[in-house]
Amino acid sequence: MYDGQDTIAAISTATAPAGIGIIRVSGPKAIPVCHGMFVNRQGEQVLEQFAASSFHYGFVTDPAGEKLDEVMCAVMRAPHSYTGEDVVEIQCHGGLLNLQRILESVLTADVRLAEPGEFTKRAFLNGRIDLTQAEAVMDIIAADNDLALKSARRQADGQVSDRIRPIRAALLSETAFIEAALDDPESYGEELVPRRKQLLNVLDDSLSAIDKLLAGADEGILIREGVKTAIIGMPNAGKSSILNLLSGRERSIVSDIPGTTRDTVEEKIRLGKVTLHLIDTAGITGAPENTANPIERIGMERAELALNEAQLILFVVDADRGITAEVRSLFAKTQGKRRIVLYNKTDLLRETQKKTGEALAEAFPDTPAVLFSTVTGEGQEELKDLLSGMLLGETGSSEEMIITHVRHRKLLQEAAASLKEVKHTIDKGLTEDFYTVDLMNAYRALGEIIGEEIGDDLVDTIFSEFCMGK
Amino acid sequence: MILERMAPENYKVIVIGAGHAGCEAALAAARLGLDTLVLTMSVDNVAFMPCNPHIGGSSKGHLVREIDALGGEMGKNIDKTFLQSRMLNTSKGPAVHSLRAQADKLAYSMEMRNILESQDHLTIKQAEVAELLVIGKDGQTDGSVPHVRGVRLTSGLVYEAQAVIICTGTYGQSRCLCGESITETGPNGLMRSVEFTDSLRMLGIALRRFKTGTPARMDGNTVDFSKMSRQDGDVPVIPFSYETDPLTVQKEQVPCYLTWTNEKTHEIIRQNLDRSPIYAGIIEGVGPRYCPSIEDKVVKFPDHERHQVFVEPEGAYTNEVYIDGMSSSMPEDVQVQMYRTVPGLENARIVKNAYAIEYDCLAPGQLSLTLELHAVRGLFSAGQFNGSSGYEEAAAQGLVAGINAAMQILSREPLTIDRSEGYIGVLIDDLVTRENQEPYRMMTSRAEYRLLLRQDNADLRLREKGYAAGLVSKKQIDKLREKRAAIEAEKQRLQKTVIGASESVQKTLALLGSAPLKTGVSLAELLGRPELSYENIAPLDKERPILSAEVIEQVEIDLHYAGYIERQERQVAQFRKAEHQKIPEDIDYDRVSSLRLEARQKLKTFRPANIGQAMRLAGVTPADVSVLMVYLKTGKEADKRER
Repeated sequence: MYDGQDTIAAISTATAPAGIGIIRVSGPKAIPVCHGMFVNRQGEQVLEQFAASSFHYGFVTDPAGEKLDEVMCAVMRAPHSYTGEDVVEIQCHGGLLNLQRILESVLTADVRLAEPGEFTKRAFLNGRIDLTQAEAVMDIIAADNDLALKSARRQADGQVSDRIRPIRAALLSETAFIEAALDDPESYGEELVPRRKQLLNVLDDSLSAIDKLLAGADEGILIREGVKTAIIGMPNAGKSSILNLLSGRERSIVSDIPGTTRDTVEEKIRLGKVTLHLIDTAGITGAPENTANPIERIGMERAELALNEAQLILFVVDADRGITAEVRSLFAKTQGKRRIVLYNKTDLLRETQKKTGEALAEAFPDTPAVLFSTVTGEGQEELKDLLSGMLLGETGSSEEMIITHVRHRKLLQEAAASLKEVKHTIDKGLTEDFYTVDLMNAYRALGEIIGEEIGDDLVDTIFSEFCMGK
Repeated sequence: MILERMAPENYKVIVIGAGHAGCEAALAAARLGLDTLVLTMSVDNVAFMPCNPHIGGSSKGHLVREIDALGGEMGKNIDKTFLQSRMLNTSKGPAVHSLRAQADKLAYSMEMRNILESQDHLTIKQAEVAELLVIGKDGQTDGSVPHVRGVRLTSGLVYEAQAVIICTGTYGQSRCLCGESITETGPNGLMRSVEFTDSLRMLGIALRRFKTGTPARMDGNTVDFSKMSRQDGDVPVIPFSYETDPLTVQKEQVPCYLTWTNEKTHEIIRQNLDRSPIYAGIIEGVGPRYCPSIEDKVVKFPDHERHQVFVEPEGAYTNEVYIDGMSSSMPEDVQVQMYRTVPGLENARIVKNAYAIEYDCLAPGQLSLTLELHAVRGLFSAGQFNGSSGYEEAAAQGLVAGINAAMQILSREPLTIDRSEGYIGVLIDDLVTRENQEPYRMMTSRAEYRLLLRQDNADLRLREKGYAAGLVSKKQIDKLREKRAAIEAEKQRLQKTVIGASESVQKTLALLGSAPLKTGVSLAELLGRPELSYENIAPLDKERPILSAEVIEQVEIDLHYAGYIERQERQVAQFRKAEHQKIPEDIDYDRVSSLRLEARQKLKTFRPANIGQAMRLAGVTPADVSVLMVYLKTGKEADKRER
């Protein structure tokens, strides 16, 4: 068990006015300190006598015995708590000032303010959770769509570790056998060649297990991180109106004057199951260096930058004006990206609808297109479905979506590459002493995912991303 | 009570013991110009080989090469006194090739004694050390450790010195067991040391008991070699030492013989297990897994129908042969029965019984990477006393301890070798960091960067360190630097030399069983193909310079296994990151909050020098190391703020 001397406390709910707020205290002094500042209905200090994992009504008092607030108090005893230490959670009224005052009276000589992520860090250090679970706790807090939340929960349950541990165990056992045989040929040497078949099986099984994890990884990462989406089009195609419609607020200034948007405007939106980082850009007309107006030029340069970085392009065409040569040349710039063409301003098209619809469908035959209107809302549902289909694959259910971190994907890829090297070594006819360099590399890479091997400042990075109070 | 008297001479360094560790330690210190006294229980047994009659072998051969690269003596001595030499494991990759030579035990010992006697600044004396003397044992309130003062002999004579190196091997309060017969002696009936280890205990140094064993020696005249398969040495012989002229080691060699145990042997052992001191529980010491007695083999591998037995000469001066693979602590009568079941040994007569020996050695966690003990400044130790087994392991430590004792006295940078630099680094790191539960034997699997730590490149890896310490001469280092430059130049030439897919090239490749070229490639790339070698692509390489075999060997290995070597080097780079995160010597682990109790205790005891070493401590989890890393970065500042 953990024997850290210090006890930590923090406000664990959002620092915004709310009905209820929670202050969490963890560490060896959590119970005695809270005991001194909690009284029951009868005004008695009884917190120390509470049973483990129990919940009590009472009042928080200041050092002078003055009642500060009416609260519910949960007492958890080590190791049966989130951190694995003694923990007291005080549920009080959620006013910011109220929370601050209670926190201040908890922060005595024996209790200090927790650092961001420190509760989870302690859970990790006390062996309550492994590194992927700790990472997942952060993801649960940050999750902004259902799928991200679901996959974070899976990770928190230890599903990533559950998948990785057996692979590591199998690799270790094969490596150990080879090494033992090299050191002690008399006892094991003759078994080396027959054992090669088993090694090949282990390699194939491990590779397919890793591939399975990787199969859902791109999707998983998109889900967790959101998709960088640039709205690209000619000036006055209605890009800003689309941003405003999708984000549900007047985020970009909209006017009839072409070139109203000069800078890029960003907005995070949830569209169905997917989170998009939408970037509204200045309209692009030809090459920026040919533009006389310096502000316009900068805007166009930024638009091109956004285009390059984007994982998805919403290409907006003014349906009323049709597809000009300029539109085609701008469209060509989005080559190689995932893209959706939005034929905007269909509301202006009523009478000529038929003719234009046909022409438009032929314009960019390989790109999914949606007839869209920010005025009537036409095409919005269709766009949602299209996005889900494009980004989440056919099923959209993503049962196998376990890997949601770039870090994990990179390490899995590294492990797979190493295992392929081992197979390559066997194919080349090299002897067993060459197998272990890559076997052990795969073993280490997999270990880094679950924190059983230490990567560069991994723990630092992970816990520094945490928010306060968790 | 014997009266203390001051010795008539002064020394800077005292080495206790003149075994393989003691010899290297004493030679290193003396060669670095420090007056050195070697104290041995028997001056007629300098560099004595009480167990197997060979030097080298899998991974141990690497150690000998490394000792030589650093300026040690073992390689040179075996080159002068071997009876047979072989390169082992040649069917595997170059990293596990290992040189092994059968020694003439007496010649080996005599030759080493001669080297010691001829060494300036070195004095040998036969005596038993009774006590280690220190200054400042009591009243250390400032946390500083006592300093070595010298030693007191059982005669009462006191020698003072600035450094003492313990190389007492298996002699500390040892006892030998042969079935029910127990004698209180050192190996081979030699006198044991009684008082010395108790004096260490008095200083708070923790000791424990280890056990090892040796097989019987037979009268060669009574062995029927015709029933065994003969094993000859290599022709030509490759010497161990970089200093040995290969021409001087080409000589007539003595054969070894291979035979096998059988079910009958195993049956006798099983029937008499209750009379084996280990299985009967008489031995408290822990024996090695990797050099097991025949009893252990039979018990642990019940499925094995037979075990290898090598019959090896003890020397040119004697008929005695060593029965390698059948060490035992069975009673005499069982030994006779057991050995006689082996083909060729049916009528063999035992000259010396097999026995097990139990002895005092250092408990883990008390050594630093320089082989100085945490407990006493100026006190170093090496060899079996440190919990290792084997002559080569002992010599390697002796050399490092000797150099570092000298470096400390001369106020110079200590010599440390890390796990990516040599087997010696692996050996010492393991002895310092791990809690070995049995005598530690070097093995190739212990070296995680094995592909880089080959016996063929020990000079390229370690010679510069030997030169920095002062044991390698200017002439020797110039020779090494020339070799390194020649290797680099040839590799570059091969990288730059591109051959086209001409008809004659394709023809040559076809002849070598290699796929035809699609485009032009460099010769370096071509050498990456497993079926091609530097030698067999000669027809494709018209402007090849004349190079020595050692240069060609390095070029070929580097290019042939380039991918593996690069990947291993990446692993080393990763390893170095952790090794370079130093932990300050004065770190107070009590200030590192969030460390688990077990981890805190381990860190306090072992005092790792860096994060990498901390990571290897048993009982310290990755999470603990993370905490430590965070503390080293941020905690110290927080400490300062508090103060």
